Amino acid sequence: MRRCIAEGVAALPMIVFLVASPAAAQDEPGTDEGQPVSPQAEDGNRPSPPVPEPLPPEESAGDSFGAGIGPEEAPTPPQETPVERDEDTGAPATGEARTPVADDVPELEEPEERTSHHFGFGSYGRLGVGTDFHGATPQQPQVTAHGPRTVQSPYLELDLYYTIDPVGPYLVRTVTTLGFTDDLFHYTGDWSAMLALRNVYAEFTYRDMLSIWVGSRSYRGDDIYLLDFWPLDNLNTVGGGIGFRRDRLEIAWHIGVNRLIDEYTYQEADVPDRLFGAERIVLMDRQRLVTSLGGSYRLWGPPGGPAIKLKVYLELHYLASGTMRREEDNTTEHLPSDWGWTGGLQLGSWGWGERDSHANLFLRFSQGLAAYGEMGIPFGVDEEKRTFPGASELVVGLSVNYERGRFGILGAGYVRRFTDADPNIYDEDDYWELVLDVRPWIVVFGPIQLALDLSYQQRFPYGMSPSALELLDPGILQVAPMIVFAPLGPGSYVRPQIRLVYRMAYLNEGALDTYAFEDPRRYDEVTHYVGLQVEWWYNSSYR
Amino acid sequence: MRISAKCFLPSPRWLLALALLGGCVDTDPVRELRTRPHRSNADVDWRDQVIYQVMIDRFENGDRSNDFNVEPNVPARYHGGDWRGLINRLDYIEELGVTTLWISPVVRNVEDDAGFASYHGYWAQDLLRPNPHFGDLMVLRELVDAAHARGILVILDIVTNHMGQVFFYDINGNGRPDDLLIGGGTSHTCVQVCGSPIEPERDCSNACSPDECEYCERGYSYLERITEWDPEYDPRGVQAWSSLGFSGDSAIRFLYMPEINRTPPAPPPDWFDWPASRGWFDNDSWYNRRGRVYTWWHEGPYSVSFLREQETLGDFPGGLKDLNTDHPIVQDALTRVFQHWIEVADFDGFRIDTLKHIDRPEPLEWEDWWEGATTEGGRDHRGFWGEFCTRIRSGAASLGKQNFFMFGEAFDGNDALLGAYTFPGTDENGPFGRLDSVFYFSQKYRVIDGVFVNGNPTVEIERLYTERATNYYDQSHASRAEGGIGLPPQQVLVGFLDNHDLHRFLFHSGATVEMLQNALFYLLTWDGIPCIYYGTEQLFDGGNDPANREDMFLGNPERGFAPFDTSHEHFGFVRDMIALRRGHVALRRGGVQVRWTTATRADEERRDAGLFAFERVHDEETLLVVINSSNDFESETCAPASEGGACMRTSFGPGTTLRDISPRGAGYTVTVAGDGTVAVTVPPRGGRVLARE
Repeated sequence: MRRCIAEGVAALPMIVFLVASPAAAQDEPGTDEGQPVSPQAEDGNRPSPPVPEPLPPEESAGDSFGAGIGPEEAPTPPQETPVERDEDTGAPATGEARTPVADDVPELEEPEERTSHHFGFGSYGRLGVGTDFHGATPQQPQVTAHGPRTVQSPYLELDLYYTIDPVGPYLVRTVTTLGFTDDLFHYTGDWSAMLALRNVYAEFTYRDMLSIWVGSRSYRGDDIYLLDFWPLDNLNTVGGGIGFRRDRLEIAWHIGVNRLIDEYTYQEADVPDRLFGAERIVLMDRQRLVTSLGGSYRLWGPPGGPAIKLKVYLELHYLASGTMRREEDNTTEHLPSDWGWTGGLQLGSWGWGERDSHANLFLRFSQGLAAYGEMGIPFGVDEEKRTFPGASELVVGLSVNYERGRFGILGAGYVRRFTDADPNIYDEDDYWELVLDVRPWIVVFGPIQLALDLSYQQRFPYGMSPSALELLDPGILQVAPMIVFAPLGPGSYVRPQIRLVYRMAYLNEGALDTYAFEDPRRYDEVTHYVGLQVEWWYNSSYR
Repeated sequence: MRISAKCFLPSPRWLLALALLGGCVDTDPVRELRTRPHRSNADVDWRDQVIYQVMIDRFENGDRSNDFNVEPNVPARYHGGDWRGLINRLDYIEELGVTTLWISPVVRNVEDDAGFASYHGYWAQDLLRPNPHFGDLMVLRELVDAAHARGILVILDIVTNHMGQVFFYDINGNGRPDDLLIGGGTSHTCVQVCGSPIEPERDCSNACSPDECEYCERGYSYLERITEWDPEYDPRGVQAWSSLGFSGDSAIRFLYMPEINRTPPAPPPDWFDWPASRGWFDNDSWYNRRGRVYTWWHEGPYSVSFLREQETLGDFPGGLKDLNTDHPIVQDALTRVFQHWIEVADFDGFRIDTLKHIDRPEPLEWEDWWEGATTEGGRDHRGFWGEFCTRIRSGAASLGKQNFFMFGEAFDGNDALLGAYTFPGTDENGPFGRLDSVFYFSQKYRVIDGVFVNGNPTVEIERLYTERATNYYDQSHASRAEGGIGLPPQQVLVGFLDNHDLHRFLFHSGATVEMLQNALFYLLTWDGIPCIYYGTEQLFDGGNDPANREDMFLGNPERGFAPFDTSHEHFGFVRDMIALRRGHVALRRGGVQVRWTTATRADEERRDAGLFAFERVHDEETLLVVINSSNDFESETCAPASEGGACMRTSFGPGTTLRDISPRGAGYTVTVAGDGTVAVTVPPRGGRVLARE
């Protein structure tokens, strides 16, 4: 019965989407008159905060194709001023006024085209400090794969762009994004931080129409901000891609590999050297190949909206076979090759309401390896130690933002079903889950806003809890009122923001049961949090 | 592209196509596991059953997702077998023809001890939760339901005597388990309490009994060095000791090694309704804390009562901590936890481990009493079994399960001791029952090994059968409707050739396939319930533990048998013998009348060398079984001429023609002579089942 309710809830996003679509919004007068058209509005499917000062074209990072980039935890708030381009041809406008010449004035020679080099910097950052009223570091209880982001660990991205424009018909750009997470030195006294290269790639764009990139790239599309979740496309690989964009159509193909450091994919061992001592060798090295193909088409409306677009998406995953050695007895075990696929759709609508109002509906189905994600280590394999065809994942997600004047409301939700590949039907590893999150906000005066984050998350496993020996459905209800200081003005996606947050979370019996017996959290039915948070992004890397 | 079957199960559908992609799983079976209907077994007669013992870890790996800590090439580690694997092989079980599965313990174990893994299941750490190596509750119930659907019953192996290696004795009080203590141990107790036990200074004072003095003297050098993990038995309880002397009972410390699940057991779930105030299996008082059994009943000049008390109160070898089964709360807890397993998994019976290490129901007059004895015994002492068996039977009945069969393993060749566990008793609270049956260890040693391996006279079989009337209870403990089996223990003793604690039959020196088949012939035609250890039908020949726990899923490469090979002759023999038994009520339920035995060894050449003949008599039919246990001689059921030459008399009248209906009968017939005798010839290691033609 519960699962059928979850199925029914899967219908709700469609209903909400249809209600929130431009058909309703068309009654509203256009709100973008006189406002610069942001590149996000042009794409339409990601909300974007308005840039307070338009940058000259030569300082922009330019557009690129493919999936979005940015941190796992960061939204997709790319923001740059666009390069002004001819709407029909897409060719960059020169931006230079031509001086009228009199008939008797000798014709001036056309100036040579100059190649300019630009350095750009962007950043996404968030951190907070708070208390759980027990004198300990506050935590965010979560029983679903993705949940509300009222309390998150610190995260920082530094984007470094270098653009050479033009190089013949090309625009050349390199992007380097450093990501930092883990605790802060000022909090732990530990002089270390977890560092990752989120992006290291070079991109070549031909006449703003065709682009090619190669490198290590966080490659993704549109997100659900409130849940820090990219429901359709979110890949992290080392590879390359090609994109094409013209008028209403965008197509992007990518291929990449990864090779995780995990006993399932990688194994080193010491073996006798040919002469003396031991030599470290690689016994198993299983690369995973991922390729994706996405196509987006603006079905209706101008680039600035109101408009609707449809995106179709496909992924293929392949993991090579390998042989691992059991450390205990030095025998070997063959791990077979495996594969998976993903297919998805996105229906996006924007340009109605004010500022960054939008709605996105996502649908994604994955089977085999793809159900675990490209960074996931398969578990619950079948008798042949494969995930295909037994494992699958289905996601229906919705992201909505509506703003008008001093008021706005963000909404998010998804329904997800996951099954692993093992032969057990009544298995705790197989489940449905549901998350709903809404955050209305209102400007009280000046830069001060009040917001309220309400969220509900629940998981419906098919099997018994191994500790409680009965079927439990972990669920959490959260309420989080906030006072927001937004000096750059109102807007769901306007940053930076400072927030004073109180959060109360109620965990039901199933949620408490997810903790080990000796974990003190198992006995804390209601948790509290009060904290001060900051979040910013500007000129952050985007797709 | 195949969509997993998990996606499509009946459920209400919403209008949107998205819901159709989602699918629905009916989780009501999960919610109602405890209240799902149980098999009533009203149609079951336990004499009709053929039990097949399965060690789950070694049978078949059906689910790779639970292959944690699996090392398939190390004999004493997990190999990956699970309940899903057994489900997948029920076709094989059904083809073999056995009617009941006895599966190894299902509870969560201490994972590891001294490099050995708990693949066998006998090192319980949590009696309420399933061993994740084998699956979860739903899969376990699926196994039982699938077996029931094929008419196969399922017996659960349970341990009530001890838990796994969950604590150590902190003898020196340093708070950590020391592998070796010098100068501690029982010998120190002996010196300090009894006086020097060693000649010539021996002065075992009046403070100690002769048994204790003997114990101290015999174990002096050995007991001088002890380990806190598993110290030897101390009649006073393991004592704490420091350089200044004794300091009272040694504390026990529960270990906390979560990586190998050597932790105190988790508390029971709320629905178990067990108040925390009653304690649980991490309570010191729930254990006897006497240290490890050191001498056994049949060893040494000790008084019987001293040895039996040691056996029932001492820890089991391997660091397995002995539960205080005389404690009423412990009794209640054990009864309720195993009642839980009947409820959730619908088992049809229990095979109870280490039976003789709990209670002493043997008659007290057997014992020369040890003056230091602290426990009670005797037939009318209710103890643990009187309480447990009575409550389990009524509990099964309350679930609608009749015929709940309980039989135990008393690893002992003493027939009277085995039988003592089958007698009921009466105390101030009224009458109580005990076990429905026991493993027929006395038959194993005296008949299977003695006669069929070592060639002892077959009259030994008759002697053992005769002793049954005295040594075993001759009434039923409870009717079927009351949860009992409605049969006396005398009729349902569980016979076997080998098991997981004994080397394989074929490991005997000089054993042959013919000998094995000879012994099987006896087992499957004799009365009682035959029990076959997995792999017997595949000619496994492993030695003692762990060599006798071979992987069924590897087959028998030395013999050229593929895994679960049903094509070879020996499998066919076992299958056909089982079918013969199942097809003839006399072999299952008939009474026994011995018709011929020999008083000489089977290797002694004579006309009737090695012969044993008996009738199985039932209202519907009478069958004559003749078995030749000799290796070398074709024998005949007649005395040598030097002894008069008389032939066997049976219940068949003169002129009756009997035909051999056994799998290798090959149409053999014999006719009863005019004088009512019959001369049946049987080839070496052969057997005949003769029915009226």
